[in-house]
Amino acid sequence: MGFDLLAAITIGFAAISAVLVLWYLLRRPLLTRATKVVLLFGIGLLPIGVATTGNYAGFEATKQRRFCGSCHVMTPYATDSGDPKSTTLAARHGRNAMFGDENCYTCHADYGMFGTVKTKLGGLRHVYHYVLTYHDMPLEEARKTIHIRQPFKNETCMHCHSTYTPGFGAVPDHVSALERVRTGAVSCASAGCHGPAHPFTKDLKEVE
Amino acid sequence: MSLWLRISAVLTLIALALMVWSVIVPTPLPVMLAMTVGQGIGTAAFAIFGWVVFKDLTRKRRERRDSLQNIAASRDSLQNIALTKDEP
Repeated sequence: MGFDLLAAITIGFAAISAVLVLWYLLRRPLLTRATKVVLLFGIGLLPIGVATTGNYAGFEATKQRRFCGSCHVMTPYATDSGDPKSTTLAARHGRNAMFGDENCYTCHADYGMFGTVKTKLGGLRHVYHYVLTYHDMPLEEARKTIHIRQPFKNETCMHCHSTYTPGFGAVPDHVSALERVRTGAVSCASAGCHGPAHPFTKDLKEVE
Repeated sequence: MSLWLRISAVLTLIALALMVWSVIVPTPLPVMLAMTVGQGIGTAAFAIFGWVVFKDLTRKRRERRDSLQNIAASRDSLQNIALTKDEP
């Protein structure tokens, strides 16, 4: 676990709160004004602080590749994209400092005003499917069964690769397919272009 | 009242444990439990505390009001007694 400041603050607030609450439970003082103030901190203000920082830490944790890979069916995806020797599209992006340990989230998140909310709701759907369908499924079977819910949007790629830079235009295939790429008619991750980001999950025919 | 306050304190400890667990082990189950059950329990604990404090304050206010009324009533009766004695 990466022990960051936010986690330390959360645990610190929780520890102080627990001490105050335990003091009340063990000493059982009269409900005077002082006791009320102590309990206001122990039961109210400090736990609210714990919830706030804990929520933030939780949301940040859900962006980590380690979090995505914690369900066994996602292990090959997470392992490959974090493998420094892998040549898959996912791994090459994972080696980019802009993606780093959050490479799953960076590519699979929705963008826009409600992007984060939509992504989190999508994550809940993943949990639902995992608990009901994939929890006891062997990895090899899951590898063949699991598929992306919607075709991967070019918009996500274009979030970084704008298609307007000279380097992008220097590639003949980019020039010939430019409008179709921008409109999404041709997928960046299609077999004839860059191919799927996780090719090991596809049948050979699909990749070709 | 103190029983409810103890329940509230115990619920707080449970909520804190769930929220800290999610920070120490940030995997789907702890994170989801912290953000749903943990926060729900914590909110309930705080609501119970608020209710107990509110009831305690209203009880004390009522007691003070009753006590003032009693003082006023006894003062009136003392005045009546004094007036009665003054009568020829």
